[in-house]
Amino acid sequence: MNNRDLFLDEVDVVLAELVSYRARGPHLRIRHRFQRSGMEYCAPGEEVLSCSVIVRAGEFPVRLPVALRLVTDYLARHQYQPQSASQIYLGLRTDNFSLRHGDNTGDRSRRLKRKFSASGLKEYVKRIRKALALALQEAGLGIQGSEVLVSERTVGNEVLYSLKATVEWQHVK
Amino acid sequence: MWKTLLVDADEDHARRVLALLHRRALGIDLYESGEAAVQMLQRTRASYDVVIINATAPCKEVFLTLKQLQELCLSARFLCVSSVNHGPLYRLRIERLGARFVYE
Repeated sequence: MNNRDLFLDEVDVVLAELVSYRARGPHLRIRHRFQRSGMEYCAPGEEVLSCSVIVRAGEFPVRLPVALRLVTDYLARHQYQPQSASQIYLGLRTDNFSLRHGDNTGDRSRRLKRKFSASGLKEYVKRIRKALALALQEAGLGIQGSEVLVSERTVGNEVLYSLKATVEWQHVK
Repeated sequence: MWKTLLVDADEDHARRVLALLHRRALGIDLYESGEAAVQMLQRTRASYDVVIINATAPCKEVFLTLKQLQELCLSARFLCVSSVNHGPLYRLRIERLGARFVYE
């Protein structure tokens, strides 16, 4: 491959990236820890350890505290079902994964658990978008947080939220 | 068609790049300097999908131009192209700013 081919190849990759990001959003990696041995899938009791934006070979952390990691993980698990703040709140309140977050550590204290409120979720959305924007900026993607944690208006006053991203879950020790 | 901004002070090089990109679905605007491109963007608030910068001359201006254009073209992908090998550190410095780097 000569230099001209390399250049054109790189241009093609950049264009492919653009198409992919516009259609599906960026790629996120959510890491879970404390998976029970023998489990193949995510299960209640694990901890949402981190969330990162993956761009080619680079990994850029989305710096989120526990509560926002739980909301992000919840939205990622329900990304094809846009939900209002109230629905997310109700979902988190009854979601076994959130309720038993980190229980596999053996620590049953509330250290890794968070309580949510419907009104607080709108603020959480803002903060997640801010953290996503910083990570995306660091990754050189120039995508806004609101383009990843997307708002959709309904015919009423309600706003529905969903994640526009491809997501993979990774389990680590 | 992808809207593309080409910043290239070297006329021959720019012509070569334009010829190479001829078959790609790109609508290309050419600017001879980073400063001119920045002024245009500040004036018109135009948006681009791809920004290609000739980074052959290893000077501070390349990094400054890259940073300024990134602030003005928030949703663009950046590609720096060089005809001369300036070593891995130069490439790394550009890639750390979030742009791709390739030799042409």
